[in-house]
Amino acid sequence: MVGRASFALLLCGVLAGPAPLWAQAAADGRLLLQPPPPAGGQQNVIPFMEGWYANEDGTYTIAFGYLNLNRDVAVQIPVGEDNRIDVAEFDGMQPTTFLPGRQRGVCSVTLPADRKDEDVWWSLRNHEADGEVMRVPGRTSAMAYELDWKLRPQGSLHPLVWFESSSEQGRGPRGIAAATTLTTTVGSPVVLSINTRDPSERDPDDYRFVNAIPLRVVWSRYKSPGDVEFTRHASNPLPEPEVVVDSASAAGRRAIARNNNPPGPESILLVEGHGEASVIVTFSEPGEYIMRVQVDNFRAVDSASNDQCCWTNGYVRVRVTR
Amino acid sequence: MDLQTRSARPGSFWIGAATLALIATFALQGAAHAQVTFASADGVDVDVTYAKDVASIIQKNCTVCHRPGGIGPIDLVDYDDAKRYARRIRRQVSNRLMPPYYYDNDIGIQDLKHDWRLSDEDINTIVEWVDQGALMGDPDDMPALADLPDTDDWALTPDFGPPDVVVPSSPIDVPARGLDLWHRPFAPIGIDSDRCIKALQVKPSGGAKGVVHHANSTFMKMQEDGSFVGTGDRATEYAMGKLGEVIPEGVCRTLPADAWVRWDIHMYPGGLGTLAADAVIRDNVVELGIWLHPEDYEYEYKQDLVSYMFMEGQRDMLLPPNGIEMTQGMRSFDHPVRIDSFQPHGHLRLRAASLEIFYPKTGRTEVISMVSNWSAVWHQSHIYEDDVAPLVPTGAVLIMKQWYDNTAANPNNPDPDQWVDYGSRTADEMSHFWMAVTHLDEEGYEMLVEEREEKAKVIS
Repeated sequence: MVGRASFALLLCGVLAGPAPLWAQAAADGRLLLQPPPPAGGQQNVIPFMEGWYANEDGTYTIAFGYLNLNRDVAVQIPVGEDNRIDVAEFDGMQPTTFLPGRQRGVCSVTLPADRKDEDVWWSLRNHEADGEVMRVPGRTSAMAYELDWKLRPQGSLHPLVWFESSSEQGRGPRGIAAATTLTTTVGSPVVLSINTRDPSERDPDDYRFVNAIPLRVVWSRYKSPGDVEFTRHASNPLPEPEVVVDSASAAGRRAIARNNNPPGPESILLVEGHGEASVIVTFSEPGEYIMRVQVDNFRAVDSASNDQCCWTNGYVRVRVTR
Repeated sequence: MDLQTRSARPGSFWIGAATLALIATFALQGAAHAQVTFASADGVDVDVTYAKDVASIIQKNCTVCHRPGGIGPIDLVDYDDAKRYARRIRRQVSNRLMPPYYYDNDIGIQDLKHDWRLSDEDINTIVEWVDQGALMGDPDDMPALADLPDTDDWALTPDFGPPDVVVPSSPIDVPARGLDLWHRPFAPIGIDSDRCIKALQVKPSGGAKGVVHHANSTFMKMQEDGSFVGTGDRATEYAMGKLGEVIPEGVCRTLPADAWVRWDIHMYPGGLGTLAADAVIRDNVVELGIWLHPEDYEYEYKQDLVSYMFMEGQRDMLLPPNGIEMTQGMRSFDHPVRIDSFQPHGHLRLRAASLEIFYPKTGRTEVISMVSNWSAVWHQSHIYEDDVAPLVPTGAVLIMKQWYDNTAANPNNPDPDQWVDYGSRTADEMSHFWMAVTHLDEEGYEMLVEEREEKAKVIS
């Protein structure tokens, strides 16, 4: 029997210096060795290259993601000096709204076959943090970063995604963008919808796949000059809370709702592994917005975000006027 | 051996004039002289020869892998092989890169089971032999070629015989390149009563040794509806190059009755190190061999194998481009324990690891084990000899440190310009230790401490 454990964490550069631990204790209550907060009050946003795909048509797609070190704050960094991709033709495709935490494979660039060896650098600087430029090269040189479209060991594949406005389907981080731009006004709700299907090939004799693996659809801000409010669509009702009886309560019988953290309106679960997923969106400011939708089958045993498979991106442009 | 040797081929090694001198010496002196002194090319008398001094070291420590059909990239079977690669051998053994068992010689506990390290004496013998011209010596001094085990066989068979149970995964093709794979099938074991495990070994199929990064095996129970639930017991963990696990006498790691194995096999297409296949591997099967104690085996305490992590899930790891970082995790127990084995786990940027114990009652910190040249290709579970396995009192703190090198100086680094965070891929990183821990009570702990103190008195 393993007993109760205390589990502490320290992460520091080995060049931090020889000062003893006690000397690094801060008076403001910070943990030992914990760095002071930056002057602007925020942490940095770090771009990541997730990997690269050798496409069937000879081109190469490089997938990017990011890590917003702020745990609760979405950071806005407009395209420009502080949010730049240094190959001009790709600059502007990157997000400007950075959600908290690690967001994998949110965007990609595709290089022609004859430019395989070209580096595509993405640079980010959050002025609300320490002002340091964070950058990463997208490149196709290392086999260790090669991604692919092949069947995963238990049969998972990237979900197929398409918009009503086009018959074209997208898959993987490269995904697909809606062919038409939606228009609305500030405060007027608009419905965003996407269609998806899971083409995975799973063993029906494996108990894990007797029932369909649900697809999870999550809408989020990608470029948003203002705030965005998500409202639950009628096709995505709030799940019924699981009710249990608390026999120990003073009243003798009291119902307790178990699922206190149901998914938000921007998250839709397609339990049959296919279908249409919709959300109602309201915008606070005029401007050009891009909304991203991620469709994943992470409930399958061989699909996970940190395994770099399997999800597909969709992008919807919305023009908001006063 | 670093990963950049994956496509290396044996080069054209310098063969000095010593061979000619040796032939001439034999020709002049004849064969029937036991006390012959050999002359090197520069005329200096030498006393270290292949036949008398070196052959036995190489046969015992190298040839098992370095032979036709073996897993080593060069053959080291006879004198001609050793002569051809003499300088390479000297470099590898003097830098303690071969045999591939990476564990610091001058820090912490040194008495380990299944320790592949050469002794200082053996290393010095090889170095002197090469420096003196790598001479053959008197053929009559040659030891008989050892009966070498097949590297595709179970490595623990010489100790325990064949495994009592072999649990194979389902077969899977591994492509030559592309995204890492994680294969998670279930397999029945076929043992219908609770048993204590004596030893375990996980064995990828021959061609897959360079592509199976890890293979975790966990015991599960099948439910009436065909689904599985965990029993809370882990069988073992395999990582590339690992030999296996041996559970000490008197303790029990449980194989539950009617259990199945849930495999979690991580494969890296193309492979790593000298065993990299760089080709499609068909029908890779990973096997778990289990050696069992008799049903009436008696034991005092339970042992388990657990991954002790840097923070919870290691998910706050972040290695900057061209940077060096260190992670540190701590763990204590509310009862005394004995640490039976220690195995750091990481990926391509991990370079070093150490295990320390902090004793709050005295304020003293003790370094237990240190690996300064860790390699993703040779994961070893360092199994402490029973008499020296660390006894950890209640409340003492295990300190687990790991150092990561994301610079170009790390020969395993696929791209030093990348940010690296936690992930399952080989290109991403992890930070944890696998440790086999025997869970004691206070009485048992005190008894073991007293036993060791008595032995120390006798020795002194």
